[in-house]
Amino acid sequence: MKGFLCFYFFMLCTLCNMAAQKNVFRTSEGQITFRSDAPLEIITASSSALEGIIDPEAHIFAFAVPITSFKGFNNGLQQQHFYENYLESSKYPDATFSGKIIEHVDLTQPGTHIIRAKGQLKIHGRIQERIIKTELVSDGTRITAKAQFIVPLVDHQIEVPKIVNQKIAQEIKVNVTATLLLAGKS
Amino acid sequence: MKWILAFVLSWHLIPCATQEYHFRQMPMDYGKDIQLIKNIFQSADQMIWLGTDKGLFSFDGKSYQHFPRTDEKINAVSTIAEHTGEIWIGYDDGHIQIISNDSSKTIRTDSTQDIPISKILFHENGSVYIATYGAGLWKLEKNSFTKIRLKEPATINDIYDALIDASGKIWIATDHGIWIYPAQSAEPVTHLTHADGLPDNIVTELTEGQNRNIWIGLYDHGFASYDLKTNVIQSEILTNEQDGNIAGLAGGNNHWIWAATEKSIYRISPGGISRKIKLPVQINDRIEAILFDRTGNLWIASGNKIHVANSQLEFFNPGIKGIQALTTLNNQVWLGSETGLYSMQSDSSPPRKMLDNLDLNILSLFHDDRGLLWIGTFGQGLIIYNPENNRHLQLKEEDGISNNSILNIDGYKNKIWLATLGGITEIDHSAGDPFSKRPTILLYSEKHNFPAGYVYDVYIDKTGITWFGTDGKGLYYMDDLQLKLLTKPIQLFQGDSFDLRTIYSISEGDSNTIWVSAQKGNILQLDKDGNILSHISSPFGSLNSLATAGNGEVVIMREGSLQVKNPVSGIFALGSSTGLTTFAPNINASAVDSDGSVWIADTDKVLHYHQTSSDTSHYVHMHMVDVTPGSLQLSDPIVLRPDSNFIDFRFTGLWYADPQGVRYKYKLEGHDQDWIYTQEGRAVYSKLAPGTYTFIVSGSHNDDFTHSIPIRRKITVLPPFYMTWWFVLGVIFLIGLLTYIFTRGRIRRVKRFHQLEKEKTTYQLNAIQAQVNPHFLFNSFNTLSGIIEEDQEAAVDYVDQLSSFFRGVLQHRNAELITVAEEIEIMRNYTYILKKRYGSNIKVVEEIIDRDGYVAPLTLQLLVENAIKHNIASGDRPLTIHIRINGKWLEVSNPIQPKIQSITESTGFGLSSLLTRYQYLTRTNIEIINDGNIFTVRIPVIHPNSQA
Repeated sequence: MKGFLCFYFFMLCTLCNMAAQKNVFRTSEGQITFRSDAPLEIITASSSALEGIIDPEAHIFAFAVPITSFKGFNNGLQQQHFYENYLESSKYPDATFSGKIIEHVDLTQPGTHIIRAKGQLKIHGRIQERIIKTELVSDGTRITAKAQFIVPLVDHQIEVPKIVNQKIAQEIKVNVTATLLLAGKS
Repeated sequence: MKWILAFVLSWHLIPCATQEYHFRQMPMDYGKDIQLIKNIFQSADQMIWLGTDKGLFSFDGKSYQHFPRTDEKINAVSTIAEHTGEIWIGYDDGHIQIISNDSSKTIRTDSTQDIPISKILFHENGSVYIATYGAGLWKLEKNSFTKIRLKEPATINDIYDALIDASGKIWIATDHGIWIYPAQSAEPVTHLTHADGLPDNIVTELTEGQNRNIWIGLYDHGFASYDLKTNVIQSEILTNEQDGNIAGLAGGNNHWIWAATEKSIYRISPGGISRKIKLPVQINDRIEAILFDRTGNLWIASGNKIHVANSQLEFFNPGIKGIQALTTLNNQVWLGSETGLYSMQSDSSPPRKMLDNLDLNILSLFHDDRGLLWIGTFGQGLIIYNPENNRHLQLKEEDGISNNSILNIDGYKNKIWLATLGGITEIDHSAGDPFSKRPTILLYSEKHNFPAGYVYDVYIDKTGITWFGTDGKGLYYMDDLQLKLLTKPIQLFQGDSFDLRTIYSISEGDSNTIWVSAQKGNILQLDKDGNILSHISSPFGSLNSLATAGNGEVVIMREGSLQVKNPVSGIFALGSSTGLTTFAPNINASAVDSDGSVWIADTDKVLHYHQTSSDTSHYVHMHMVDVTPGSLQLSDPIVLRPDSNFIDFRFTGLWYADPQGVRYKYKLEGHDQDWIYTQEGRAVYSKLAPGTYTFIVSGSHNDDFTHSIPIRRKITVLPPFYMTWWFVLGVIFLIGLLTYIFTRGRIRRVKRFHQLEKEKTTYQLNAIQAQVNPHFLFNSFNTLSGIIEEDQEAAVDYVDQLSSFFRGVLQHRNAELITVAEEIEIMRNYTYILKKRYGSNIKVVEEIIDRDGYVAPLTLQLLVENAIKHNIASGDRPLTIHIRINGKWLEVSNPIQPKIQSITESTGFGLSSLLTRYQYLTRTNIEIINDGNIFTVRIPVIHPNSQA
């Protein structure tokens, strides 16, 4: 995951004007929760290992979370299936979302901004282009980001055995909250 | 550019869907493992095209045909367009494929490598514009792309959709609003954003509307419309989160707009009222695309499935039993049933029961211009009802109406007519509100001498003429306050075929005509004089009700069948493919709405028929699918060789409303006498006689083939080679040539034969002359006289030899051939005679072993005579003549001892005569060899058996 962030960091650096001293927002804490609301079972799990950066000038962002950092399943077997069978975490260790912010708002100005983050959501190794509406509350140096979105299993070719069809929803609700701090690029 | 900024929210969000369209799932035997159908497109020839993750397919309602790319790569189709008969397909990997009738080619450039093509636009100035998702807008010229530079290229890389408006400007839908690029003028590029009234900046769909407007699909805020006349943007539908992203827009029947999101379909009427359509549970995958086709069907692509609904027929289930009458008033449908009066909102809310305190069995309903409902009951008379204040007034027989059971009500201006079980009643309420002032009631039986008995229908046509359909008393009409009986049809058809005495239902026809439903299932169109203009026959005994929609279509309702007679295209049935499985309408239980649509009561449900748009085509479009052998497109005529004389036509008729219901009729002109009717899209011919044929096929969904544009294919079957003109000519020439050659040869042979005969005769004559040559005789007798003195015995012998020689000459002179033995015998006689004269001066040496075979007579005698004639034969130089058989040859040779002057006179005959004779007798020529010392003549010995 570090490698992933480094890559996007590199991307940001190249995209931005290197000559100017610029700042990016970097997660200080990030929480991602998903909820599967199936007729026979409700599963919720969350991870605090969400990491990400936002470049307020280039309006680009990158977020990532390791699959195996999700905790809170109803039982250990379920967690194991989630990691190994459904999301194949050994092959695809991270879920990522990176792209650009459509609205050209100045995030270094205090205020609440509803922005839409358009980018590539990569889960289970499969990329889907998504536009995710996000609420960003900025005080100039610190941004609180909140977003909710739905991940249809079919979009990412996550195959669930028929036998647990009634226990796992076809559409997973995802809730993200993160706090990002302005940090200089170095 | 001045934009009038407006943002009018006028959506009508209906909380719960009520409309039910009947969606049919199309077959899924694509032949490929399709996961996603992303595009549906209809080309001008009515064919449906599907853009899928596995490429392009065409669909005729029954089967799919895959159109692979020229590079044979499988890639997802991202857009489909059509231009002058060519289908242009944009792919996710930036390729563009162009399919025309007879070819397919792919355009690929590095400019759009791996960038999805989002739209292909054809400008009327001839340019082709390519919108991409990732690389902006390009102009395609001569297979190379030129990027269109707009002001802020970075923000318009991702183009979701694009269109060219009526003024030739290109609209581009992006994440940052709409960019409008004036493709052909120097005007600046304009930009429509939230600030201009666009509800959301992310614009994902653009569709040209039918009312000089552009429909806009927005990522977050549903659908809006941009009015090109006023430059006002109006939000039309606000979708919610459950609906998901928008999927597409389609213009539909009667200026409706169908808008699709991932999870729902909305219908927007021209009045701006939008309704969410209830989707069947089987449409559970995300909706990817919608299409409204040119025959009135709504297509939905969801996941890898296609669903089609007939948009003309809607179903409502109000939950009321025994509905017998209906009418529309104040945007409500009023239902009269066995259990009373109900009002039904055309939205979700359950119908409300009105006049609850009255226990009514309602047979007929009518609303007048004042907004009053006129309710005809069974046995309870007439009720006039004002929905505004809920007041009602009941009129019964005792109040003057002719009968308490009212089958039908119609009205015009201030007059209302009741068709009852006991004649006609006219109610005149011109005096004012019937609640305050009692209307005037007139009984037709009294006023006009109208016959008593059942009256099924009363109908007022556009021209104000009131028509009455009676039970067994004929068709009456009221014109200029005169009641008249339309007697003509009755008089014309006294027999069983038409009986116009009983009329169940009356409705408007086009150009001052009337449609009536008579007994025995007959439906007739009549003019005002009673002439029958057209006739529709329905199954025996069926009782038809008629209603005329706003566009002149006559809706024919009877138990189990709902049909529409379109004034142009004829009858089409709204059957099970539209969702109508059972149908049990009450007589005349229908009403025409203000928009021309027809509401029909069907016992426990309500049907809403929307008239056919003028721009919809109700004809079956024919397509040739395959021709074997040969090719679909080219070769007109198709040329068949006589030995591979087989042709297989596969065709299909496009009628997506009911693909299985299409019938074909075909004929091979020059071969078939009559049309052949089939439901199978195939015709096979073999062993056709040489000649020219025309194959004609047309299709129909209602057995009316007059409107179908037939496909014609010319076929030429070549004659076999032995019947071609060049062959016949060749044969004639050859026969002529052979005859000529044969004749000439024959003439030659005959000539030669004659010549030989002549020569032979000459030879014989000469031979005899030679033998009786006086010299020979003289010499012989001289010799004889010498011998007689010396040796009498030898003299006798000499005379014997001489006579034997002459006998041989005489005996054989006519023969063509004699044996070698005979010839040698003659030659011996001759040489004996010579030897008596020349003594040892002449020697004849015979070396003859084989005496078989034949030679010409006197050959040897001639050669020996010749040798003596030309050579010296003296004591010093005796002449030795060798005669031998050498193989096939008889050789006569002598040493050359030439005389200075020949003693004997040459006959000029000799060798040359012999040569000619042998030419005639055999192919082998006589050989004459003169080596300077020996003179040899070789005569071929003829063996008749081996003689060739």
